Amino acid sequence: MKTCKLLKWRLRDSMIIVCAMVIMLLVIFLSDNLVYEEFESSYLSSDTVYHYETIDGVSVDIPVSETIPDDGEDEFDYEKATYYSAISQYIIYEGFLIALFTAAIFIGIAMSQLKDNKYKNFLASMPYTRNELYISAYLQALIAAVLVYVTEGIALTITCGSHANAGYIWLGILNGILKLSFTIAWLELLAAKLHEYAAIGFVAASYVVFHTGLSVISRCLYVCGLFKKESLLYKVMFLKDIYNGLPDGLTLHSFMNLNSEDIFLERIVIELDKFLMISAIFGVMFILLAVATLLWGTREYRNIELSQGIKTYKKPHLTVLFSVCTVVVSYVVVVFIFGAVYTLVKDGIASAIGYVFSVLLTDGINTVLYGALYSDYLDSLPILRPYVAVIAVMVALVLALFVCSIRAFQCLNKAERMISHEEANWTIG
Amino acid sequence: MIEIKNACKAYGTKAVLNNVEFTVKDGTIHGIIGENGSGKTTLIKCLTGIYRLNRGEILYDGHPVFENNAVKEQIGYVADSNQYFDNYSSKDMISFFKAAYTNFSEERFNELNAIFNIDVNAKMKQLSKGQGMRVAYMLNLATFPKYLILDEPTSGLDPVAKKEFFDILVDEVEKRNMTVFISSHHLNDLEKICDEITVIRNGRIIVNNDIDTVKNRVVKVQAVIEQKPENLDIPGLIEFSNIGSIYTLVFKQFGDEEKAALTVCGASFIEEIEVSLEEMFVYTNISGE
Repeated sequence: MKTCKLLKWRLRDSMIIVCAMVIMLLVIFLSDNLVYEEFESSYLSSDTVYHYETIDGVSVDIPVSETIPDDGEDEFDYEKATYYSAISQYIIYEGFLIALFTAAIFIGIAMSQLKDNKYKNFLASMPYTRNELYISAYLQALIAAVLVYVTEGIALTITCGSHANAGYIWLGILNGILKLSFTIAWLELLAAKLHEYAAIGFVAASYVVFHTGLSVISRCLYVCGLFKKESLLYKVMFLKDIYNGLPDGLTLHSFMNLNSEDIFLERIVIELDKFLMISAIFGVMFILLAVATLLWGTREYRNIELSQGIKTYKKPHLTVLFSVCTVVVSYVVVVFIFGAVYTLVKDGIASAIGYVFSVLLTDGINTVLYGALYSDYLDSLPILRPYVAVIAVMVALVLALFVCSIRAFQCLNKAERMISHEEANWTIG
Repeated sequence: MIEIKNACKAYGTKAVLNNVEFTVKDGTIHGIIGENGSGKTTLIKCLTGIYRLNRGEILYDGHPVFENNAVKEQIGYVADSNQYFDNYSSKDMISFFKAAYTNFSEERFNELNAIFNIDVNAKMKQLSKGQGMRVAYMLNLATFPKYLILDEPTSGLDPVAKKEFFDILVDEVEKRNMTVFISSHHLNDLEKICDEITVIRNGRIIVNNDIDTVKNRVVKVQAVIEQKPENLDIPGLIEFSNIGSIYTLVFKQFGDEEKAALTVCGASFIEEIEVSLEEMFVYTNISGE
């Protein structure tokens, strides 16, 4: 009963931020959705008439429907392609979207609540046991997680539902359920055992295992499961989303008239290489940041637990080692077995490597920021010192804003450029 | 009664409390003084159940405080700075306390607020430090605590509020037999209200006794010495100063032997004068006692 009372107060304290986060998440998803709607209806709809000028300066209005080839199995399917585009973009976006709202909630809470641990001391002096404090904190985190994941599931469902056939909607729901169920399991584990295990490195590692597993499994479902039959098409659309256009020399028109995959494979691999290089830099950076977080967190936790009398491992370095090993093993197992190997078998080495780094990129951000988020919610478990966390989040926020701005700009201008490509290469007859 | 038995607390390898042992009697105001970093706040955090001792025990009427809600309900704790949720108003905090303390009385809070005069709708972050402290006093006193633990309670309070607070405190002790444990660097304040004083240094209890006995650990003497002595090499002399021929001397103890030695130095008029708690604290630190 006391836990419920405390939970009520905790929720009240955080609910405004959580609601703001949920609204922001919905707005981001819906605006992303609207951008695609606009993109689809304006530039890819078969009812749209494109205006072109020929080399001779003659104006020609051509309905898009006339550009659709009607032979061969590799035809360009507008509906499918748009969906691929949306879902590919969603995969790229996800990390940054999460970074955005996580940053917002984290900054809000970290700035106000972690200062000098004062609330912790205050709460600990109140007539509450540690179990009541912990459990109410976990429940608070759980409720926040439910809200966020349900929102994410709804948003994904909306995105899928508007861009693809109804058969794909279940994926959005599945994603939400998967994440939610694992989150519940994780939080339950914490609630029941944390104060006995009492090693924040273990907690962080546990989180990474679960979250990474979830992310990668859901990506496997998106990428490998859904697109295995259209691997080339997916890759091309994926690249188009990343680079705001097709590889040099490729045009929408030529792509639509695609007769043989071989013509494009070489160029696609070149583009993938570029993608790999960028991803590798970010991926390694964020992984290092995640490991540093663990190291720091373990040290910080040791200080706190010693002062607050929580049981601890006697050898903190072993805890750190254990944590890092857990993270590495989880990444190796989950990323390589579930993701990379599958992609390798289905799509080849280039895709597999690209896949690994894209996962590292987004999960690196997610791991650090979620770690910060939950450590903040679980106010007795400071993974990060506030200022370190704030700096990390600010960096991620700037990156996220930068990338999202670029992406938003790309979305709005994508079709224009595609038309320009068409214009430059268009010939009648 | 609060019994602190063989209390030991360490942060890592650094011992902060070393075999601390003393008792706080019911219905008394017990002060604890010590230099910065001597272990006062750590002891208070152990007393309020925030920290768990590495060794030893803290008992309230025979019951341990750590993880014991029944005991914690009887304890009011005011930290040295506002510790409440910044975005909560006093009204919100009243509700929060109501949910946690079965004894909490909003009526009592309002009675106290008639004295302290705080806008209950203002958020904690909008209040000044002194106003935040007043809210903390009101909230804690409204729980009718059997024990009130105060860490630097007068910091941020203006003289009027300080007097009002002490008046209420003494009143509560008299009427409800409340026990107060108070840590402060404002020794003059402590001297006015405390029945007993504990001096802590480097995590060890140096003195624990009633205030008069504690103050008598040093003796302050005023003497007239017309001829400036070449030296004042008197056993037990901690410090001296003079304005003209009027000398003020502080001794560890002052008996016939010291008086005779002072006379030999040319002192013609010797008188013991009252030592303040602050002087006692300063001089015992100088002497290393």
